[in-house]
Amino acid sequence: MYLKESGTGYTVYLQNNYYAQKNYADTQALLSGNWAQSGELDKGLDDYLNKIVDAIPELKASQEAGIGVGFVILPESTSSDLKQSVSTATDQLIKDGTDPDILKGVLGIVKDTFSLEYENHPGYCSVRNYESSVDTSSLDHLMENFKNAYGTDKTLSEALSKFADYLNEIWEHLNKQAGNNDVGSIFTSEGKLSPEEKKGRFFSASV
Amino acid sequence: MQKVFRKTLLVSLFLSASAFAAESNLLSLATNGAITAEKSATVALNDDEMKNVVGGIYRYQTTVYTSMYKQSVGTITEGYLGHPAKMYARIMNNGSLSIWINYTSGGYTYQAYGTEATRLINLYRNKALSYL
Repeated sequence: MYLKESGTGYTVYLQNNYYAQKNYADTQALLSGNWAQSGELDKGLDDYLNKIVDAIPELKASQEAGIGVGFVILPESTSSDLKQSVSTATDQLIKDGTDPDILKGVLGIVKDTFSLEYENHPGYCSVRNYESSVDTSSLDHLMENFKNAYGTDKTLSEALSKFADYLNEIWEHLNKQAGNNDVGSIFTSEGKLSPEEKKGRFFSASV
Repeated sequence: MQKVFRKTLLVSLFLSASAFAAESNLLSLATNGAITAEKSATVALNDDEMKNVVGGIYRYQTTVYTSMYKQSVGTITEGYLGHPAKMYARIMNNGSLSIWINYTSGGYTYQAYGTEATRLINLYRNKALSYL
């Protein structure tokens, strides 16, 4: 029997080179079928992300309410543009007395609401009538930071070329949430700016 | 149904802002003012309810496309009974949606069953689905 569920959740977009690199290696192991040989549970990641959750009362309340908090971990860069965009989101958090070492990498937080019908079976769950929407203000804020961080700096693009597919996936996801389709990639597979981007047209679409 | 009611109740409780109103609204700052505690209703968890609620973290990892389905993969950072664990959400071309958890132990990969698997699926299902 299908049961109904609805609620509100959060996804934190976070820059951290160490865990971005680990995520990349883990994904490669997964896609190549070698995940089972990739080691033990990394409790450090769980502890690190939970410190961030603990620092933001609304996220902590989400956990306590039985709704998992989502995280997307992104690579960092030495780009001044990138640092500035991160600061936009986190300076006030730090000024407010929160541990800067914990929150300095937060690029943005997106709030979503969802509803679905689910049926649990042994080992899996079936879902139907899944619907979700995001708070557009928080999404726009994040996408602006994301563009500043990854879309306009050629040096950054080359330095992070191996993350191109990953960043493109996330960019596509954000645009889908914003209702934009066929927005293209933020990086080419060679890790350089796309021709459209070089011409300054890539971000002409409203986000 | 009682579980569903409780979960729905807790979701609505989560919207509660009164507990945070006196604190600095960090979420508002991180979302450029898009989300504020003041926009939420006022309710509170009681002690019994607090004992029964546990949440964690889902970290997005990748999305896979095939000719038959689209699939998202994320890491459950708390793991499954002490083992590395990933949540899979898949939508087939016919629109059917399914979610499950795999974990590794001793160099092998297994599918998670039982109450702990169900608990984790219930916690993170929304996050996994959002990438499809």
